[in-house]
Amino acid sequence: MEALVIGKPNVGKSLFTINFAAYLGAKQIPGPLSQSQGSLRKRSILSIDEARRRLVSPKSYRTLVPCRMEINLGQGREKKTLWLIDTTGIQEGVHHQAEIRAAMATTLAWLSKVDLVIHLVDATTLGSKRPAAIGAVDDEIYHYARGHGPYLLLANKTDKPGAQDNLPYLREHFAGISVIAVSALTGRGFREIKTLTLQYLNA
Amino acid sequence: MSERMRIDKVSVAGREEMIELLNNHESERPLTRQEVMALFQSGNLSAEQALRHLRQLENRPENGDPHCLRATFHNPESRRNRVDAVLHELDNLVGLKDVKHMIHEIRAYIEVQQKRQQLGLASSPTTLHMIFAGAPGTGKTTVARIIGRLFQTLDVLPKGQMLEVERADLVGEYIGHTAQKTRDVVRRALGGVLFVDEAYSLARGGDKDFGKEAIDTLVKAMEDQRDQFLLILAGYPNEMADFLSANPGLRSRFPIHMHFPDYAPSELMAIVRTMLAERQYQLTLEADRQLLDFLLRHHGQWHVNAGNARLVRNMMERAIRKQAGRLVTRLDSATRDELMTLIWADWEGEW
Repeated sequence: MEALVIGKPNVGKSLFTINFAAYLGAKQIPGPLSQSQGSLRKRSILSIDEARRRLVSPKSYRTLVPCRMEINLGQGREKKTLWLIDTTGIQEGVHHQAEIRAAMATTLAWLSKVDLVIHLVDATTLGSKRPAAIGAVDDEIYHYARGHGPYLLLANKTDKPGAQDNLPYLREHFAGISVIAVSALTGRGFREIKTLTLQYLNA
Repeated sequence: MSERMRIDKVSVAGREEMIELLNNHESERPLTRQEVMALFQSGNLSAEQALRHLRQLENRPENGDPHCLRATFHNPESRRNRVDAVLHELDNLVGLKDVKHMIHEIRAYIEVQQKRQQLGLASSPTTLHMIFAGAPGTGKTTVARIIGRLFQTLDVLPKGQMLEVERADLVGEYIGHTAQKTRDVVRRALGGVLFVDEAYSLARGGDKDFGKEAIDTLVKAMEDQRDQFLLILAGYPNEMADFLSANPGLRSRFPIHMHFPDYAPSELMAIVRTMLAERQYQLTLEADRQLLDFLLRHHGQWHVNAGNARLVRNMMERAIRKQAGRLVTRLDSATRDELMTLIWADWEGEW
């Protein structure tokens, strides 16, 4: 099963993916493609700590190539594989760099293919003008993914002050589905997401 | 931008429609996913517009379907939905009309028997061991797996797992070993489906062969643990017919015989398209037409055991390799579309 982690830039997709993968038992994370122009480009393998250092950044658009992580759940005959896909953030409007537009297009192309959409929003930025603030793109992803199949909406960064107060507004805004409060940093809400993911995986 | 500012002042209720209208005016609607992606990449569509178009494109052909899927996730207790989901998966397989029909019948039979039992009427026991006869690559294993899940959701089998074994797993090396080995396999299969592939090989070795002992043990287990597992014997049609005629007691113990016919060219084509879509490849119109033509021309001329669906999968895998060979020399200038597209030259060659 493939699960796509999607959201605006800087809402914490990469950190969530890495920490959630670690929570599910992953020991290694595929790193970025090596830059050498050789005939064979290899993905480096990073440990969880290295991945946190190298793949996560406070700047937008750190992830330009979707990163697929293989996670094995269950054992023996019941063995199941979950592919967790970290993607480029999607920003409103037209981005001026063609490279980033192409990366976003890849994300959108994935969106219809995957079995589970994990949509992250930043719970601290309600009403602010920061790029990570909840906006039209989030509404569109919500409308799209809702009609498409299993869909989880996570309000991230709930470890930050003030985030908790925003949750009721978020729940009101994204009516009809449950908004799960998580923190990619501290691991809050991971158990709930794991349970739901396993449910979808077994269905 | 000024347009958008104006919209913000309009009441919230009318807002959606206004945006909808605005979009329809500013450009013609893109018709396909590829078009949306191309427009987005060239910077003519914003991310939110692209998403909206994608959603509209998807909602057009089938409406209620995704919701019906959701229902099964959220009401795990509703058995009917789960059964329908399993049968839906079966119906999504290409071809196999008679097999599907028969499985729908079996489902109806089981449900009616269970209802009769509930109401205290006499009900016949649901022993439904099966024989699958069909050429390689006609979907026997896939269907067996679905049947396992179907019987689990119908509460006929407690676990619904499928254990796939062949002669080597059942037949032992010395006298007395076989019965023990077979019993072990049966014990592992309890609660699910025991699928014996190429079952005729059990009777091939002659009188001294231990295969006969394996058959006897299986027959005994079928009687003793009647309701606890489902035995499916599978194999190629001719060999299976010989096998059953050589063991008179067997035929009557398997009430259900399913025949898996060879796929027609159009069905093989549908299989290719599904498999390509799964791997995110597509065919050019030319390749699509030529491939269908090729399959039509060779229909009936394949070797009996050429492998049907497996054959086209091998063809597809070769085509993918050839496409890679074609693109590898100019990998840096290859576009996303090129990486996804297989042309007819990739497929051509001897088979």
